[in-house]
Amino acid sequence: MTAYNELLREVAELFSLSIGGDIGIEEFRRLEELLHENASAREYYYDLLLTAIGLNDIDVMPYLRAKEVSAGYDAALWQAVAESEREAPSVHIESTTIPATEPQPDPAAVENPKRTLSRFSIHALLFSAAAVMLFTAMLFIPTGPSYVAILTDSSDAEWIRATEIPVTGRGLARGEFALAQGFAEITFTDGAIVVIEAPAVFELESPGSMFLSSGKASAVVPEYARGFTINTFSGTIVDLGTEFGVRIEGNGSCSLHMFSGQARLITAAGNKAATRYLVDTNEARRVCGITGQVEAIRIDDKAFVRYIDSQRGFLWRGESLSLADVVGGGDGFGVPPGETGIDPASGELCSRILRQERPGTGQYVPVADVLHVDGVFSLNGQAEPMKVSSAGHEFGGFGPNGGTFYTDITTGGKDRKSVLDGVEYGVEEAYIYMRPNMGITFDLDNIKKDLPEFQCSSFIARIGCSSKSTGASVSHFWVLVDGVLRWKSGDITRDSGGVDVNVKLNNTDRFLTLATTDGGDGWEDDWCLYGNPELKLELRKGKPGAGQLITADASSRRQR
Amino acid sequence: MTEHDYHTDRDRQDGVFMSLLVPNQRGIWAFILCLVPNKADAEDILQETLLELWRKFDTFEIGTDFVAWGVTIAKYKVYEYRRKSKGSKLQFRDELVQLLETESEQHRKNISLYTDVLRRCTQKLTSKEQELLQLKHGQDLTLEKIAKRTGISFQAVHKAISRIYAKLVWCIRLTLREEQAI
Repeated sequence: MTAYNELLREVAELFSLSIGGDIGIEEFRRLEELLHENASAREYYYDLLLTAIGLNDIDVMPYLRAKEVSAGYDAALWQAVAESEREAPSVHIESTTIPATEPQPDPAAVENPKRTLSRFSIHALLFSAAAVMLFTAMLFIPTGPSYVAILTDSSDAEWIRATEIPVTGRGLARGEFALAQGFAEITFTDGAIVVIEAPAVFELESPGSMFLSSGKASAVVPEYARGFTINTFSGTIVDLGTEFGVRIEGNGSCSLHMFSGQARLITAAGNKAATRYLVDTNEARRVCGITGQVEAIRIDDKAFVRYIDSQRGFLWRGESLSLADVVGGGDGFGVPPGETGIDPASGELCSRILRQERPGTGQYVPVADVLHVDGVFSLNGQAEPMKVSSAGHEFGGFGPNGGTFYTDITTGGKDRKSVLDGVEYGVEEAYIYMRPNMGITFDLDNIKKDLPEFQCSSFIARIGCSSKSTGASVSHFWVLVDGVLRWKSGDITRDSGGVDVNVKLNNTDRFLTLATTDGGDGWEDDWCLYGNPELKLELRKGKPGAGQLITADASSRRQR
Repeated sequence: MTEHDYHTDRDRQDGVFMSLLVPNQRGIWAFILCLVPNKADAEDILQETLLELWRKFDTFEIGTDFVAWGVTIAKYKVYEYRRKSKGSKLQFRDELVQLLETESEQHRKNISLYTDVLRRCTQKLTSKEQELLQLKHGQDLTLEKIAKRTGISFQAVHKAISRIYAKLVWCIRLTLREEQAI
């Protein structure tokens, strides 16, 4: 055997051990040494790699897969094969022909091919168009009949009482688990995604069901996984294509909170016959663990962690993204630290607010220092279209205005002068204070990049002029998307009270612009504010096309 | 936008994603396995990579190189895995990883051609060799399980499988050389 052939033989053997997970440290170091020092070894390694990959490909192997190995093995024959392999001559790449003695495929074996899928072949199968709906659920599922789910993510999780400590990305077999601390996201093979919040004890029963003994769980169930079931001591929840949360209390009582869609709640206390309840979106029911009595309760849609991303340290309980927090320099999931503003003339973020009348510039100014804000502008009273985004979108419909503005675009002020319908914004609720003839544009694309699992489904706010204003002049509020008017208020004065805004957004929208104008009668009394300006978020994860949309309520936010 | 429109939009996007992924996933898989030559670990990285690709598909520019994009994300995942497994002695050194990363690119580009030739070469194996491959790759059995099934030693199975790989590589190289010479 030449040194060259000996080298290749050694690489092949080490490769074979390594790829199967059977390699020892010394052998691995030897493989590393050979590859590092020898270009031929590396070339051979690449070829071995592509060969092994190809052998896992069902398109390459149909003939081989047709040959099922019979149940009874001829050990002597196999031993002979092994011996012959061991004794066989080495590889001679100098030759230019394939030995004619190699047997041809057994024609009988080609008939009635019975394919066996390897794990990698399963990936290939999954990625066919017909399997799109199963993509998310099954992508992660290693083969093996004992797995009913996979731990797809976890955050600060501490497991106890598990026969095998769950590892993110690995399959979970039927059995009981106890999560002492943290959060765990479990994707069932049938498609449901459940987030468990510690402390919790639960059992994975099947690819489509679990038993929750204690703790909290939220479930997202796509249409194709409809029927997913959570059993508890006091009742059974059968999903009908939806998202919901289940909480087990200390006495065994259970409450069901429906965030979207419908679920069936089935209870059977003592010897009584089972009773079924259909629970709808935004409804909640509590089943007493002692009496089995069912009562309607108020939904608590912020009580459950519904999405976790451990890499970013992000836990989502259904919050919306607060644009007031964004204006204050935050990421949209907190509250402004104090009064902050953006100068509509310079685009600078400032903590000392400039309160004086200034002429509008008619210029769109990019804002560099505030996450998710694209730019700001002030109107100069001219009729020309106003640029409203860094991409060059323009809007020419603002109409007559005085061409001057007062103060910055602010948030977080607590002067108790921003009052709508008796609510003190800045004290009780978040707001953006924007006197007339100014505008601010938010970068929706940037938000989507920052939160790729979510979609901004709508912009909501309650707008109006503060009832504390010194006069009752008219102002107008504007909401533009990519330079196109999506919503405009009527004449708003301090006596108008608050008006709800709800502008639907779609996935292709790039820029959201909020603006105010003075209505042509001066700016002095127009104390305009956008109360609780928020982007509603919908979770996209686990929704490969046909799933149920998940909508978060916008009423409150997590504190930063 | 209605909910129906949203679903339609998502369906369309998922369809495009799949149509790009199906023909290109082997290239991404080859990249990962090259740097992490342990199938179980490499599969974990692949799964994370595919999920990340799906999550970030909005940022992919249609018409550009999908494999290159996938490899970029896979590279990040491999590095992440290497960071997490820093204590493991079954990891290639950084210098070798960089070398393999660079050199293997051309091989990955030829993967379709290589696979086509491999298909023909597998038919030239003996029936027992084919059965060994059936156990190893068709049924995804470990060398140890194959040894138990067939009643021969682990070492013998290992040697036999290694030789089949070698034989196939040899066949592929020759075939490609002959075809390129024509």
